[in-house]
Amino acid sequence: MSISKDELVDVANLARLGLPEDSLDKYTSELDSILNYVQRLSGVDTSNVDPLIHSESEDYTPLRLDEQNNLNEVQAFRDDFLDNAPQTEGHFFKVPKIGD
Amino acid sequence: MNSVIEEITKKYEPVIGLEVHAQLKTNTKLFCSCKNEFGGEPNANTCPICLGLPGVLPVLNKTALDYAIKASLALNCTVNPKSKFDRKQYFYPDLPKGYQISQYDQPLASNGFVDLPDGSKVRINRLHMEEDAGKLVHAGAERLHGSAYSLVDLNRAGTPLTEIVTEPDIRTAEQARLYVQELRLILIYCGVCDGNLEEGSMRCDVNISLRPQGTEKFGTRAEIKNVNSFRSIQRAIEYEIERQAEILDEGGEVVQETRLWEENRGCTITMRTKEEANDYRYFPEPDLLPINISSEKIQNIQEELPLLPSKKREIYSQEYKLNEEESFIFVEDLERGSYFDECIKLSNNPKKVAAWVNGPVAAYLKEQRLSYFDTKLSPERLSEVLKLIDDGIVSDSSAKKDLIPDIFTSDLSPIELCDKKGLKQITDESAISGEVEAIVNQFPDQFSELKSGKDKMKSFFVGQAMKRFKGKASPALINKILDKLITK
Amino acid sequence: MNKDLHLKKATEIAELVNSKKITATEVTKYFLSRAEKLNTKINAFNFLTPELAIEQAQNIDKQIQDGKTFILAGVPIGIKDNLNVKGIKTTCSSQILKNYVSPYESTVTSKLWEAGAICIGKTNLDEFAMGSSTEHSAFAPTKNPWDLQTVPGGSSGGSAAAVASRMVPIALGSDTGGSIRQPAALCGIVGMKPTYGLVSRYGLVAFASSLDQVGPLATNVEDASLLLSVISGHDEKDSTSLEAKYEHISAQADLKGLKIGLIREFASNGKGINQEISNSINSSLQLFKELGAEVKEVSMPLISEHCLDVYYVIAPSEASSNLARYDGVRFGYRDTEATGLLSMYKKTRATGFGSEVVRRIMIGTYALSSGYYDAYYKKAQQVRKLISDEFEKTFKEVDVLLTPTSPLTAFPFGDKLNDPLSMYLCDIATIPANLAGLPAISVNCGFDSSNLPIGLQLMSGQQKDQKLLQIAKAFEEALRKNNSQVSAKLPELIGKVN
Repeated sequence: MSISKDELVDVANLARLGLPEDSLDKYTSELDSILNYVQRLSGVDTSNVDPLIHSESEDYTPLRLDEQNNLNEVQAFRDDFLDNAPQTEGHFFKVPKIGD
Repeated sequence: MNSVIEEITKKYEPVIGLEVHAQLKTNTKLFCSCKNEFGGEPNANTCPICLGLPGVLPVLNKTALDYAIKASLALNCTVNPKSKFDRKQYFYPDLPKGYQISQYDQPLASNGFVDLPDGSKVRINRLHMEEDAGKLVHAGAERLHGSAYSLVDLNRAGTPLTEIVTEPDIRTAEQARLYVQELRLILIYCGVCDGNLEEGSMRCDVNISLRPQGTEKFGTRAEIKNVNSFRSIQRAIEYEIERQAEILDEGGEVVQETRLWEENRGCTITMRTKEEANDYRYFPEPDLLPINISSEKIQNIQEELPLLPSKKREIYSQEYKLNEEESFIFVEDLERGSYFDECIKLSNNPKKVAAWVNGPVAAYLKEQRLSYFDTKLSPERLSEVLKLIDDGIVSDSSAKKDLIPDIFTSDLSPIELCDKKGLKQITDESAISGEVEAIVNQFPDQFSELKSGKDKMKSFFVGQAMKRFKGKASPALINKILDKLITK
Repeated sequence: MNKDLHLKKATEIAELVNSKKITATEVTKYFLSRAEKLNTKINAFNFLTPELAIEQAQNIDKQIQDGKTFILAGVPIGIKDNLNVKGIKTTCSSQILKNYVSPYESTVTSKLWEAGAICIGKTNLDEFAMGSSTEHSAFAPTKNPWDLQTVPGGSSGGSAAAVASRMVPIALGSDTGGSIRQPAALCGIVGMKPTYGLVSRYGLVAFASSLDQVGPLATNVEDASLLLSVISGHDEKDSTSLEAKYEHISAQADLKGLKIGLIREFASNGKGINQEISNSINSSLQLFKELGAEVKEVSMPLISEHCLDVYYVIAPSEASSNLARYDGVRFGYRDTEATGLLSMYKKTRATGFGSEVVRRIMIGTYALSSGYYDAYYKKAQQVRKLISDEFEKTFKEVDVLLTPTSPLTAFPFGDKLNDPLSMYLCDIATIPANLAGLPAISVNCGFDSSNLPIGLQLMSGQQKDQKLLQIAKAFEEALRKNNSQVSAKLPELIGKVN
């Protein structure tokens, strides 16, 4: 067994997923079988192998000049994005009180 | 050090390390082209990237990297030829993407040190780059808890920070304060941070533990957050030393936890314990490739480094023979210091320049609320004034008294001002020497006394001469002439 | 002429529009009307964008009147609904973005509009591109035009079905573990995943950043090549973007002397590969041989044994992080009943995401969490390095690798929905290219006894995209000459409209 129901609940909390009580057993058994499957990795000898994070040939990150973006674009964007917000107050995004 | 702390430290040795977040004063944010400025209208300086909209990607700001390298070098760190970004993950409304792009196991720079003015040294463990979070306004209450709802302003989200972490080398609250003051100066000197603690340009977390004096093993530490002024650094550490000592004295155990400094109440309170600590799930940022820094780049930035505070202090005291107070002022007050540095290039009398800059110049500018390079009294002009004094054309006291405020405001040159105001001393030796001879003849008894070695009589003759010239003769010249007559 | 516009290649349509034989507006209206009718049966599009399409077409027509020409003049295109087009919705087929209107434009789509292409609509996908059947769309599944009872594959199932049913001649998809190639195979069209970094990801809603790549879907290799030439190229908004640019192929490759690698562990009915697919692949190999290619068996044990393990650690890990931004604060769905922040987060995300997305976030969160990182995430990245090395070694021996694209042809709805692992196995042949950042293409090579298409996959070394497409084109041509009945086959329902 790779993952217990309690662990699953911890992981769900960490991921901020409020899973319904009646789905926990199903998710536990599905995750358990997937995690068991991928555990086959432990059989591969990886001593002295560097992890491959990027599969590409460019080897360092490009740099951007410290110049401001087009102000008109910014204004137009600002007019749009607040429309997408679930709740606003003035130009602020509004969220429920910090806590449970 | 207060007496309570003094008593405690006989028994326990405080072990203190600091993590300072300093904002880099670039034009734009770390990973997008939004203006690096906040405090204005909420969310005015945001774009799809710093709002973390679906599908956006980060691109590193070159100047932010250069600034971070500059700070690293100024802190005597080794800049790592290869470093990388990682994601630090947690949920909070001021963190748009649900993760902060930071550097975890391969920081930009490591292994530096700062020499403090008290002669001690604090080693730097690492310096890394990361993006800042936005700001929350808690509505309906003074503090976070009890507020009805919160408002999110992301103008600050994505602005560039460096985090500078010391080794646990600090032993007293004063030393911690000194370190932060010195770090602030270094960053300001490098031009990478404005050093404004009140506005949050520098934010400080303190790690502190106690161990019995004479032992090696570290005690359990507490991390104190929200320590954001020089005064609160010292107060928070002293509070924490007392708190931990009390626990240890009672045979208890200090809990490893994060505590919050409450400025108003003057105490620290539990924020979260080790068990509640976040699991940040760091992993390498796949949207950015590693940062490679060539040795040429490091060398170029090294060459751009300005004279740093510790070096400046050394020059002021050893080369210019300034006293501690003068030197302190010129190092702390950047503008005054650089004005002084400009003036000194045109003069060979640092003490006199220092006296003028800290005396009449500073006083006038303070009164008028003007800055050093904003008046007509340029370093060149001040050096002209000092030359007039040196040459005996105007006396030091009369220059201080009568040339102010005109030297700051007038279009006339210093010498023209002296002319106009009739401050010029008589410097024609023959004219003076005739009058001095006449005086000597008028007071033969007194002159014999002077000749026989009664030096006090000299001031009598100088006084007489000054009376005749209505104060406009150079006392130095009169002295010189008297000396000639004595030896005749 | 208007009657069979949908049977024309994109290159032909652009030529007609550029030479003013037909206007972009006429082409657009033709395809819009076709898409409206067919979409009710197939559900390839989440929504059509007629206003945007007509506006774009009129604009192109005006410029063509002024003497300008465009590479994709008036060519209608379907855009996978995880690519941002400014001013219209980007839903990712998720409840959490159901009403989200994008305030900015992806790099790839802005290149398309500059090249004269016309946005017909946004195509359906498995929610956030996580899936291999498009059944994980939060709205409704897309149907396979060859058999409406079967899935079109996924996650770019909408784009594949739209092209297969000729609602559009070309479409854009994204491919993280086979999401372009597998649906292309199941729908009998061409789908290609370019070298990682060849196409900008700016504006593509991230699933697994180090694996995601945007690519073309088309009815033929030439159109796929043309589309790739438009969307590729360095983008300063994407730090992982390559300096390289893809040039459209002018001719097919000469296959004489071409060394084709056949992965031993995938051959001869291994890895659950359906017998009819194996047979079809074998006849294709025969065809390659007839054209002068050499076929060589190669052994790639790590790739065949461990690519799924590596993928199902890395992709969910990156996804768990990329999907943290859907928190109900700034955009998208929010559960409004919650009174505290924590419950707002939890309810919003639990109801906003579908079960497959939840599963992957959970796996990824677990794999990155303290105490498990080394055993899962780090280990997977290390094995990924070994896989990449295995490819590098193999490409010293052969020019391309050939596999079936999918071990199965289109399967009935619901077949694998309740068994995540069996669904994951659909990607066994496509995942390796993503892990190593390689270009790979799927082309149709035949049909099974149920008249369902079979796809053949070709993979090559990094940045050999052009060569790969030239080889694919040579195969396509050979197949057409050899078996015109197979290559000219179209889904039946195509003829029933227009």
